[in-house]
Amino acid sequence: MPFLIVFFRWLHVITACVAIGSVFFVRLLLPVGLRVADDSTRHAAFLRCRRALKLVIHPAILLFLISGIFNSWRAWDAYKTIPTVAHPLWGTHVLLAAIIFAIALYVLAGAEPPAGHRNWMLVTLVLLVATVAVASTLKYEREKAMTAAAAPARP
Amino acid sequence: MNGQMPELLYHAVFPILRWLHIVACALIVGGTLFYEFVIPHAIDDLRDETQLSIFGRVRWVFGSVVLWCTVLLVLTGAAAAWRSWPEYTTYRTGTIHLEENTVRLAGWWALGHTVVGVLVLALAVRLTFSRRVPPMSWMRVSFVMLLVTIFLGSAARHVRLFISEQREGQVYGNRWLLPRIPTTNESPPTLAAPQPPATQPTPSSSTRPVEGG
Repeated sequence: MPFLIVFFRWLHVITACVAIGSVFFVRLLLPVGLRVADDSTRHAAFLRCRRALKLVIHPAILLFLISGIFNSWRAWDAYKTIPTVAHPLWGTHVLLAAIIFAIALYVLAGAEPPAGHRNWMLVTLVLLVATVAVASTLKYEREKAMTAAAAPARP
Repeated sequence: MNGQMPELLYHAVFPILRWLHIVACALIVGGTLFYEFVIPHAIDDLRDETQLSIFGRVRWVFGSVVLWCTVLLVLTGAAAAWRSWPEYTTYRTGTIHLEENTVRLAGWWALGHTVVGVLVLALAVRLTFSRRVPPMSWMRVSFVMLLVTIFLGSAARHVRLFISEQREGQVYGNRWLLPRIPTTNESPPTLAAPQPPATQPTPSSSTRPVEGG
């Protein structure tokens, strides 16, 4: 059991790292690098990178769901002890994740990107970072509650 | 250590620092994945001079990202270590002798996370700022080391939380679950005081149990 706990937390974290970093790279860094190329070359290189991003994001969504469900199940009893804080934070985290999944699936669908894909990817990046902030706060509140609960036991 | 900083500031600063630590890690890990594994294949059918110019510009921009993220990771990691230091070094007398070894275990995991993390960040900066494009094998090594570093951090956190749960278990008799908060119509649960063993030292004596009882 401890191995599963550590494994699924590690899986959730590295999936987030890969997803955020990939979106950041493709949206903000790649356009700078492709600026020197002509239009057709730039578009071809961008489509190849977009295909690679699709191969990263689609499995990432699946891994997020699997590891997220396990981590939530594991921490649920702890969340129930701090409902006024955990409920909005966990709910916001899941809601933001669902929005991110929807946007990512829409933007990466098809052989060509949809209109406004640059803005959508920027929105996705901002939402990803916000989701991490909500998750970090939830984790902090949970640890704070555990520390406070253990405080009467200390001499 | 916690009392030296205003409580509101304490509870605002450390979540932000933790968030920055994760975001910086994400930018390095995901960016490294694309920089090392995707970009070379995406431009390999272009002319050589076009490949070099594209890769050179991407490398120049990503290098500054790696540098800033490295600084951020080191600073936020040091702050997190400072905050968690008492949990890695404080031993309690108690009936559960496992706890002292568990505290040491958490410290070793945290130390591993720090050492491997510093090494991989140094490698990442070296690879990004070297005059020539480094061989692909070194870049793959740095990516794998990044994943190992994250695992070591997850393990350290898990053991640290296990210690907290163990301490609660001494009071509430519940090793894995936190106690249920009573509703307004219920009275709070009464807690049984822990029964110290016969050899429990007094508070003025050493904090370690006396060997040989």
